Amino acid sequence: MSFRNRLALFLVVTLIAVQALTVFFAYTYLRHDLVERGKRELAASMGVFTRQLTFLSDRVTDGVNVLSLDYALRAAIGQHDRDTELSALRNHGNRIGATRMMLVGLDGGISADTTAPQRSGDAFPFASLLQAAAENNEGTALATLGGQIYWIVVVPVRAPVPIAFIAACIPVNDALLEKLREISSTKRSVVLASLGPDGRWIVGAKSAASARHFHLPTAAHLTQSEASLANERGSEYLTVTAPLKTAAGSAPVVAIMDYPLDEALAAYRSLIAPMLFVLIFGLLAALAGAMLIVRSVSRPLEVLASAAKRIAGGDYSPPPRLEQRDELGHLADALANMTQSIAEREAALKSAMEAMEMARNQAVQANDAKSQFLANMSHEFRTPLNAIVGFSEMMEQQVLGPIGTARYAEYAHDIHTSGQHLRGLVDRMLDLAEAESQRLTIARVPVSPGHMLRECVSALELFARQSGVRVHLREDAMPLVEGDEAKLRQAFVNLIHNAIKFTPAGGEVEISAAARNNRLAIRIADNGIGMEPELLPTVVRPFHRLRHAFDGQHQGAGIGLPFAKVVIELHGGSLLLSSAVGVGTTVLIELPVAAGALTNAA
Amino acid sequence: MGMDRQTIHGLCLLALAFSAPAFAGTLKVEITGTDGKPAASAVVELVPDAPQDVISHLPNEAIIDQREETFIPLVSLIRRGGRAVFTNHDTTMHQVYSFSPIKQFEFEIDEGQRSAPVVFEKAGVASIGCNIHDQMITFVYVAQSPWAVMTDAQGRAAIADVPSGTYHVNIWHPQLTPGRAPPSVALSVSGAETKFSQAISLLPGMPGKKHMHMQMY
Repeated sequence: MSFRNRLALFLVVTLIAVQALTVFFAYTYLRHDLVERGKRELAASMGVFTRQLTFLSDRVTDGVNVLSLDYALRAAIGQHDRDTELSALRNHGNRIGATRMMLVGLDGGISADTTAPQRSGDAFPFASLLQAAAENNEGTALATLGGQIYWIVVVPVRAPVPIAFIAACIPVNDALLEKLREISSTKRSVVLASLGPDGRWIVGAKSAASARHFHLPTAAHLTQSEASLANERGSEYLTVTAPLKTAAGSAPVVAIMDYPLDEALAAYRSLIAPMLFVLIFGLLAALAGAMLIVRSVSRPLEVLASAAKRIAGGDYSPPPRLEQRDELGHLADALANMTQSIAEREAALKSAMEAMEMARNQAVQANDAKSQFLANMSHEFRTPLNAIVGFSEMMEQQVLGPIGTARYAEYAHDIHTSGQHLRGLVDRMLDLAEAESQRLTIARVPVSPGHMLRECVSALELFARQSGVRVHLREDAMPLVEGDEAKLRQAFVNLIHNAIKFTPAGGEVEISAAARNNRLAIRIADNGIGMEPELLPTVVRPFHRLRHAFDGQHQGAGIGLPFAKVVIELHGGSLLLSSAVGVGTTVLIELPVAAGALTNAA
Repeated sequence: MGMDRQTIHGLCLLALAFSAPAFAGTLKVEITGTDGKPAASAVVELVPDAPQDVISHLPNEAIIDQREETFIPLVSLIRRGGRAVFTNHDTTMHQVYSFSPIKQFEFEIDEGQRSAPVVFEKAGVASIGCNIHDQMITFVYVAQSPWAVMTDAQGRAAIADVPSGTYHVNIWHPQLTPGRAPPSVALSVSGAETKFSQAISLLPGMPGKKHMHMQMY
């Protein structure tokens, strides 16, 4: 998945999740808030409602008090005039909205009752109200009487001492509840219920606005107000049930207030559709914006990536510049600068390499020319040298007759030896030159190294004696090697000669050989002056002599060691030098053993 | 007749001495509330268990005045057959009434006027009010017995010349609970001085002042 798609997917998922969570939490919070507010509102409404009941009681009490001072009633009580009593009670009861009026004697017996005029003498059921009336001039409470919920107000009749009590029973019916609800200015419906004798709650009254619907308490006794959420037929209701204070001896009465949560939530629900529209619109806008931003990032990145790929392929044409002046713009600039400097550096490198190549070619040509020149020169030298050596020998041996003066014979001898020396030198130069120009050819014949080394040592015996250096050849069994005996001999003569030459008088040169792993290792070790190890590579180069060697004692053309190295390498061998100043120099030569020669030791 | 005034006088004294019980003493009463505070204006009446035909020396008439919309005194004690006269010293008219079983009446008295006497033939307590000023209240205690007395501010009173014998002491007070029978205690009187003290349960607040809340309206 590309960076662009991943970023877009991430943005979409995050946005959807955030919005879903927002909607969910907002709705949950609102609902919770609504429930809490509903509870508070219902509690407040309940408080107002019960206070209104108290106000109602004050109004009723005033009315009953007026009746209690009615002279005709008091006279009727004094004279036990039942008809007048009932008439006064009915008359006043109608005025104050009491459907049932009772006259209660000081002994607590009902002496007159508008609902049951014929019956009297029953005990008034709420003695506590009588006592309150006697002590405080009024006793009021909610109470149930015959299954009906009443607001009962009891006041004493004074003439001027109490002679009886008037009990006014205001029915708490639907109309009264509705009136109380209106006075309380609560929008919530109110239902009053009383506990029936069978332990079930009976609805006593409901306000007009109520209550398609309400929940009667399940418990028989409520000690405090309860709030609950109920779900009925798909609608949620918040219900607060509050126990109302009733007269002692009355069945319990509760007030129930409903709060239809659905209605309250409807306002929020109607918000959901526009909210969702806004959310979706916002999501699309955010998505489009995100895509644009992603494009503005990924497109230049793609351009830069293809440019980088092209640059890696060696195309240094300048990458496209980006218009935007942000991080990507800076990146593009940096890429362009880098490309330019890479291109410049590579051009410089190429020209330097070309110059080097040219110089190398020139050097190779020059070297070839030198080698050719040396070969030619050597060749040119040989002809006169042959003449010089041949004729000087003839003169020395006085082949054509005596020279006469002895000193000429001596000169002729000197000419002859110098000529021979010079011719050997020229031969080796020629070999070296031919080897360098890879024109040197060697013979391939079995050679006995032991024999060859003995010849070398004996050839240098005189030189060693003159130098005061003792040469030891440890003649171990040596396998045959294959090669050019003359050239190998020359090479070893050079090496042993060098060892003797750079060893002071009294020193020793030891030559040993050992065969291992199809190779013959020959070691030539001296305890001479030695040299710095760093100088070792230079001494194997042709015509190179160490500066300190120019001391007059050690003469040479700087050909011997390079010649030996070339010859041995032509034989498929190797030559290693190790040396330390004042300790000596060791040359280790390895040569391949001739096929099947290991067993046929010479 | 050959008796001189002196002799007649002496005979009369003798007769009096024999007609009256041989021993008579003083009863000292002290009435308190159950809280121990003296109960003033309590009426204590001794009702002999054996009826005696004795002339009562209790007042025959009570004058009940009205000043500042108040009946004065709160309690009047008269003998049976006695009467009460109401005198209005207020600047307003009063409508005096009673629905009490012993006497029911109703009349108006203009300011500065004096009522006709109201005669109480039955013994008992009449609660009398004013139908215009509901807070006004007065009580007329009509004693059937000659031995009745009202306590002073210290709750104390004394009855003289009480013959030795057994009695019921009826105690009444304006602050007794209405509708409840007043306390009645058996008492034996003998010797020169008998002491009687009783605590009675009284409602808080004197009647006649309880209707204060009515004036708020």
